[in-house]
Amino acid sequence: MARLATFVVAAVLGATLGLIGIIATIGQISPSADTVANQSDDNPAATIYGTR
Amino acid sequence: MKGAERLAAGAITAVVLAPLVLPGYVLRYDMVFVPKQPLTAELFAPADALPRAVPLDALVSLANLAVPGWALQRLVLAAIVYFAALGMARLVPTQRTLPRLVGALAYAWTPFLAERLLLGQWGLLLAYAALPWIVKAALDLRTAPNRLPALGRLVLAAAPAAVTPTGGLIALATVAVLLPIRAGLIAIAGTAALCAPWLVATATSTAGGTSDPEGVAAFAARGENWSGALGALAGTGGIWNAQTVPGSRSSVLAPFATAILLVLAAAGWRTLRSRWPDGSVRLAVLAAGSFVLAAASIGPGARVMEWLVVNVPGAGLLRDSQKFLIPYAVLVALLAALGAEVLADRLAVRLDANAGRVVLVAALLLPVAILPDLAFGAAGQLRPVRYPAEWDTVAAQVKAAPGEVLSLPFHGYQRYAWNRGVIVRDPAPRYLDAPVLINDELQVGTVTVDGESPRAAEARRLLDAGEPVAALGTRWVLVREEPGVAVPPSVLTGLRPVFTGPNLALWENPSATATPATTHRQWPAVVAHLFAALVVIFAAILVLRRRPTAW
Repeated sequence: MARLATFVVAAVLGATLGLIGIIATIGQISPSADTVANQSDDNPAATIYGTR
Repeated sequence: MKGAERLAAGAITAVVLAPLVLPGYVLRYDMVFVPKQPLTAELFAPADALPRAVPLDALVSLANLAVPGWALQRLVLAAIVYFAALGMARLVPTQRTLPRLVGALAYAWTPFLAERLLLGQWGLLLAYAALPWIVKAALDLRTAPNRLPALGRLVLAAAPAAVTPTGGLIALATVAVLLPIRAGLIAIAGTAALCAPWLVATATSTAGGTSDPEGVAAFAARGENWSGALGALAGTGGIWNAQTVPGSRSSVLAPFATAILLVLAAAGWRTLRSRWPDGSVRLAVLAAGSFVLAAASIGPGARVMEWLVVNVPGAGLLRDSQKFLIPYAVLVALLAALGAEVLADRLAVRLDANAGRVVLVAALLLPVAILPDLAFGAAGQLRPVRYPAEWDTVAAQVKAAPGEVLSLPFHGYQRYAWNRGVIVRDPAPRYLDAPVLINDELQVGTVTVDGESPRAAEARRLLDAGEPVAALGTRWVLVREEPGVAVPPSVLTGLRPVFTGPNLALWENPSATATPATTHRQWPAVVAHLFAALVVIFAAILVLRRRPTAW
């Protein structure tokens, strides 16, 4: 019984971490439109310190 | 156990900084290392700019006498990640290894570290790496039977933090809050002595000391996902610059992962209280203060900040307030490690020991799951490049006939094709062995935050009017060639080209005058540097005079 419970704990935590990790990785590989808009440089001179 | 901590710290460092095995320099925003940075008086006390990198720049120049720039950069960056992880692992008040490793990951794998690393603010990250050691040393000082070596350790731990004004303030506040005033007076004085170089440089600078209030909004903490700026700060993120935020921070699950971390941290509070009865409350006060300060530039606090930067000399230091989040990051990592231990113990009692270990391993991996793109140099963003060879040619020509250099295009930060299009601060002031006049205005999106240098303002006025820059009287004019960032030919009228390459061009000004006479005196700042160095040496002697401690 204890082993089964441990397996369940491991499965739940593993799935949670996996989900967070996969979604976070997708955020890096394929950022949302808002993120792209924020990070796009609309200054052709390319001499800005940063954008908000 | 110590071996496991070192191994974990080494592994984290290797994974985060993996691309640095490639040759060259990582050049990003404020991070500029050059082959050999000259040691000039200007580095000890900038004449007409606020001393934001004092004594950091002077220390880099001194270290460059023995270590080449490429090696120094790797040493420094590796030391930051390694000692941040190791320091937190040793700070967690437990005898068990896994919770210590949870603390190490929770502190060395954070949005704060990732974002400031991508902004190139390695000087601030020295304070980040030093803070767990400062906290440990301060708590030890409270209970040490022999106070002098403990005092020495505290001053040594604070020294890396005090290489920048922000780090120095954080170290000073930490010591002042964690130690009772009467017992900690000498420790506070010792830490304050480490801040002498930038304090004296500020006092003797002709730059004034007040800042443009527009900087408060421009550098305020920023939301990274649906949880807004406060949610970002709660997860130790929220840097002002959208371009230095890892993509994973925009994940819809990032706030939930932060919430899990905070729940873990809440679970660890009672344990911390029992193990550090007095220190825990003081650390919590410090962390709460740092969070409030970090959030001060958003909401109603912004007006207060604007008033401060306009009216209080030196208050401009507070405008990028998210950087003060470091004590909060320490407390969250510490509590999360203890919370994971508490949860693991409960599960071990109710189920079996393996269930407890599973929880600890999951807590260990949580920071990596939240922020997978910190690995491998923030997903390849920290990749070294080589300077074009022309930089050496130009540096040799300027060294042969020293004189002030005007660096054009007149932008402090610029993208270069040879730097993979990454924005970086103009390398000229560090590469050339001469005073270099660069633009100290900062452009954040469409907002321009004014600089402090009157001479840079004079150059801007000439350039805006399209008048020849020869009138400035600088000996040299360096033009950093980049497609799309042109220097109008009219401003170069009256200058003589002495070198032209695909990336750089050097022009000589036949009508150069001597560098304008200045009343600015650098010797008080040099004396302050020597004083701080003596304090560090004295602290080292105090530590070495006794047997080594467990850490």
